[in-house]
Amino acid sequence: MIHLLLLLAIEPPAIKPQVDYPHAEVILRKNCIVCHSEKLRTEMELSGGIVLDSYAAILKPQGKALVVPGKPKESLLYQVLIREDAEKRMPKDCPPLDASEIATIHDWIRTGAKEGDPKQRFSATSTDTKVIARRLLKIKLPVMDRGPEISIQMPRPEPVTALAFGENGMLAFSAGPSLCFWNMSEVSAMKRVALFPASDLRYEAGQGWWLAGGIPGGLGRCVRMADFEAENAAAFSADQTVQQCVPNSQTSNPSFAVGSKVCWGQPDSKAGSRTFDGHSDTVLALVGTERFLYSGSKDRSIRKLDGTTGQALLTLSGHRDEVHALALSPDGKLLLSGGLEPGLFFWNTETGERTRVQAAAGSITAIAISPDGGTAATAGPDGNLRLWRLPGGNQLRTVPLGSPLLCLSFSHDVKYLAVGGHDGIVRILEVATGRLCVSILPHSTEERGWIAWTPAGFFTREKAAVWPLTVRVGGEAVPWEKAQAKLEQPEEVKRSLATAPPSRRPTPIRPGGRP
Amino acid sequence: MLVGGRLTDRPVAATMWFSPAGGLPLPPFENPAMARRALLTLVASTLCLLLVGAPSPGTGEPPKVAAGDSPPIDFCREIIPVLTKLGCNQGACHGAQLGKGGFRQSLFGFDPDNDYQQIVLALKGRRISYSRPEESLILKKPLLHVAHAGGKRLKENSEAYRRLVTWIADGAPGPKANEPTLTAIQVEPQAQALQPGGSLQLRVTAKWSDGKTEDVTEFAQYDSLTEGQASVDAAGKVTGVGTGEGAVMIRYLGQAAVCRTSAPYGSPTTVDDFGDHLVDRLLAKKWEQLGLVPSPAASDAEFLRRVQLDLIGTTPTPDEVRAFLADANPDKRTKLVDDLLERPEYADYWTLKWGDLLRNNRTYLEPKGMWCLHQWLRSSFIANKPLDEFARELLTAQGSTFQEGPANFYRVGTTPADWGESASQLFLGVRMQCAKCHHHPFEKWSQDDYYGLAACFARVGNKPSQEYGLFGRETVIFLRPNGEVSHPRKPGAVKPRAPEGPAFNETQDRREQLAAWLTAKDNPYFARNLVNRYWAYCFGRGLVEPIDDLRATNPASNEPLLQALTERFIADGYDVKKLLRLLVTSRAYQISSQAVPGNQADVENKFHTRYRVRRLAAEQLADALDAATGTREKYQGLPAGTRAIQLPDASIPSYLLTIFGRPGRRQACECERTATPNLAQALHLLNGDFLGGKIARQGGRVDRLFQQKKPLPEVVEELYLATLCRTPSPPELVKALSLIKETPSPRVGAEDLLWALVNSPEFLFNH
Repeated sequence: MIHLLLLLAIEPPAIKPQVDYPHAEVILRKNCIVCHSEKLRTEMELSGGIVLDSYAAILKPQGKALVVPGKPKESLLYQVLIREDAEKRMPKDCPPLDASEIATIHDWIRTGAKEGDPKQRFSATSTDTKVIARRLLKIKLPVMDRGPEISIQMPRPEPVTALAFGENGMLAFSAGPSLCFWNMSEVSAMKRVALFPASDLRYEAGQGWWLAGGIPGGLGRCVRMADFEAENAAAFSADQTVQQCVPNSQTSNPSFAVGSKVCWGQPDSKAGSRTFDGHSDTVLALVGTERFLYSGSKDRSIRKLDGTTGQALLTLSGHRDEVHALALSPDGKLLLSGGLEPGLFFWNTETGERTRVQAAAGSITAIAISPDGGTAATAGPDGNLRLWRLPGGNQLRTVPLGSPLLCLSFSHDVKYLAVGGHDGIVRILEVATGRLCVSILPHSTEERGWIAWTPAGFFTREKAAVWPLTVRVGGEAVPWEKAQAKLEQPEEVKRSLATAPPSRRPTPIRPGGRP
Repeated sequence: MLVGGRLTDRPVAATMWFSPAGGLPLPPFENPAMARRALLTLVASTLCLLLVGAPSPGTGEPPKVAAGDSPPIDFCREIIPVLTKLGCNQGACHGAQLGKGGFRQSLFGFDPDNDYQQIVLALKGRRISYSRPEESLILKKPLLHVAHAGGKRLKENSEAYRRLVTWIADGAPGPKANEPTLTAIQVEPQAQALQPGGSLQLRVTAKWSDGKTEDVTEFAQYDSLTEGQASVDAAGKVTGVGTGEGAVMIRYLGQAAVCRTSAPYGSPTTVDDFGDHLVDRLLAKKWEQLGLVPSPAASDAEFLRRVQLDLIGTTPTPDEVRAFLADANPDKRTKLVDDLLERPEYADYWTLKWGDLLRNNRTYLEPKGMWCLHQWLRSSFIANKPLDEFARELLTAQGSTFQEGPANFYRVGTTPADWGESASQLFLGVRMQCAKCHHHPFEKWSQDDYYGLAACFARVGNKPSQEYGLFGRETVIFLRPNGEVSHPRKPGAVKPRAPEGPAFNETQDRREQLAAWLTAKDNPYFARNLVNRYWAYCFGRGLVEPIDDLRATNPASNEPLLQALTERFIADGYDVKKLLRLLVTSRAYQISSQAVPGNQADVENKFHTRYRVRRLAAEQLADALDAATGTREKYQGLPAGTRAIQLPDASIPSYLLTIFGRPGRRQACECERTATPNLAQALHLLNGDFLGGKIARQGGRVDRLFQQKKPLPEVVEELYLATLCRTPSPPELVKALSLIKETPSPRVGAEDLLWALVNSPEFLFNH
């Protein structure tokens, strides 16, 4: 007896650790949300109207309080796990959860059912998921044949997922989590804003830059109005990934595509004020004006919507696979579409009639029509940029760029075309000739900086950047000082952008000396 | 720095490696293949030096040490097997025709281009994140980091995860043109004794067309084909469950192999003195291995009824039974077999069998075409046409379907694909249908094989002829100078070729070349398939079962026997009568159908330790009822006296035949003839006026016996001989006589007795 008392006395008080939502979430995801998800809320036979796939949903009373913080025994979420009657126990028709899992749910509710740090999500159980050493890649900067070979050792760059020209030679693009603003006349970066990987980027005079989140892993479940002067001017949040957004020139209410819906937004509102939900699958492309919107979807259809009422006016059917990209001519009469199935589709927006299909276009990820309505450009996963004459639809030229392309934009004076893709390089081309003027590798993190170069091999870069840059001529390494003196010439880069014919080749650099 | 791990389960010592870069933790691996792979790849990517102190199990070669940058992960070779292993592309999930949840993969990854497009390009690339591979949707879904209806499929610390992440980090390279193809997989061991409770680890090696071999144990798929004998887990560890022969199917990238296990039913036996006959010797060898003993020999009466039903589909008459029982010649059974093979019913019965297989049916062929094919079949069996010649005539047929019997083969189906499927099922015993839309899920057959075979028939044309009048609907089968088959996924015309065989040249009739390939002595399927079919017709169950589903993953219950019979059949010039004679003169065919304690454990009778009891086929039964009651059914449109086994097609109405499972001749599958019991069968025989009428009919057996004023014991004996083909035992005789005495009149009693006898299992079954 004395021994027992002694033992009791010396035992330290049990430490009951704080258990937060991320720990519980892992268990709920594994066992519950197959049925109890937002998507299945209305399917009473499966979900019973109970939704468990977000913290907010669990804490909100759903008929009866699911969770009474601090009181597991009064919480339905805990009660259903420990019922004796297998018919009434959850998960339904399954063996009961492990004792340790039930204990975790219990402790989470007991310690207050706190949300904890959302950034810690999944770290609760996911063990070492970062075991994969990020390989350093040798990235060759594409320059002309027989020119110097410039390469950088760096981790794989972030893909350029969205870009748009603004006014006064301004270009904005989204590479990974950062939004970069570029001054084209100076050929230098002006600003880098940490945001999220954007799936869409639009410019509307007087309204600022609009972005839509949506790249896997991004936190961008909102549409942001990011102005160069005052970033994050406004944001609209949505429950699902935003794919596309269309600015409104009259008001600051954009329209945007969220999941299979098209929403008409209001600043700071939780969701759109109006929605169209006639698509049966994710809407991947959205273009239009205040009057008419056109939405292209994974469900293989394109819809013409009334911009004021949100009603569907026409269904444009003819695609046999996902629709990925749409572009509308400035007069609003011609709509171009493309997607997974090879072909550029021409539509009459008045009648909904398909007027032409250009099979030569391959699969398409992005389409743009020049502001003057005379040229269209398409980009595809095959790495080819294609230019088309409008309204006829004849192909003007194909420019192979080597990497799967994701986005494109014409400058307002129709002089330049900017293209971004998986290799993380933004390329500026001259529309009239298809000539590649400048390539920009915008590194997404501050410490690396950016580099821009011409096909001839001249380059300019962020001064503070530290670059493991190597230059070779004819297979032999060139000493860095020698190469820098000859090739790092910002004026030549500017000239390549400004003048029509390629300016000049660099004077030959002789290899030799120590690299 | 030293990090050690131990590879278990194999005679392997320790594994160590030194890493100048600071070392990486090596988790303990349960699976040696996984450990090897992990070591090699870690080494490859971190420039370590690897010292491995033990040979790689099986081959005796030490694992190769790679250094420098590992090559990028290959989509077809390394990613598809992972997706298959995780179950992503199975039929119930994303491998369904329309995919699941908006994500569509090809079934078990047979179409890498589609799979790549869906993973990488579809949804504008939303499923992949190149710069943050671990954030890719394609990983977060199976990790359950986001909701996934398929549940948790992937583990963070697994080789599958590592491979997928590395692939994405490398830029998710797609399928390359001229990719090496997987030529074969090899499993070790291929066969092993495995006691219940014991276990063994399989090892699977893939061989590629560029000469590479690779251990793919971790990503192969394992399925037990015989859950009662052996189970297998996802890592390829086989556990013995019960006695008998087990089989585990191993699949990897469209190739399949089998590992066989065996656990004797009892202690090994010696089946002495079972004879020298080819069949007996090889069956006995199997029985000895499995600890089984055969049942004792069947009686003469049992043998007579059995062999008559199996060879000519006809029960013996009372006189035949009496004569056979009275015959004292020790060779009388062999002599009987020889006589039976020469009887006209032989041709009738086998014409019926092959009519089923060839789907001889007037709805497809018009009455004239149907009769023409029927007569060709009959004359072939009368002449005992060798089956290679038979197949050649059928496949290369041309001309009028009203004049050339075999030409009707090309009217049963209508497209090259139909003919390819039928030819494959009939003569190769291979069910190709799966490969029409996707790679065969359990076999090596691809769409290339399917459409290559169909292309052999691409130039068969048909045109109407007016020789039999404008509305005679005669069709002429002819060869067109052109015509091709196109592949659903590949551009251009498909080159005609035999499955797995070489492409045929263009100058000759493609069908001639197919037939020549088919009937070549070294063809691995043709003779084997036919032998297996005829074995099943005699023994009730194929050595390979189902009998028209020959494939590597459906092993024979006695492979040496099937081999030996196949060789003999080829040596005998594809002579069916010789084959049948060989089978039914074996002692194994002549054993009792009753189980004995030494073979009861083989519940399915997979190893033929006793004769397999079967219900009479519909036509056999109809004729047996006619014979027993001494009456003749009249079949519509056919002369009186025509027997059920002589019916040329399935559209002649007969309720009895329909309910007893006569096939409609719509499929080239043996499975169309059913032996399942149903209530209609019982009711039709128990209380239908059909049977009552036949028994009581004037001029029927009972009527004639009473006309002849036979004494009652003789009447009873005659009825026993006419139904059960044996004499009644003395107690049976006493019982039958007392039964007859209880009835109002002896005649009614005799009718009741006959009714009882034809409703007895002994009559309804071939035993």
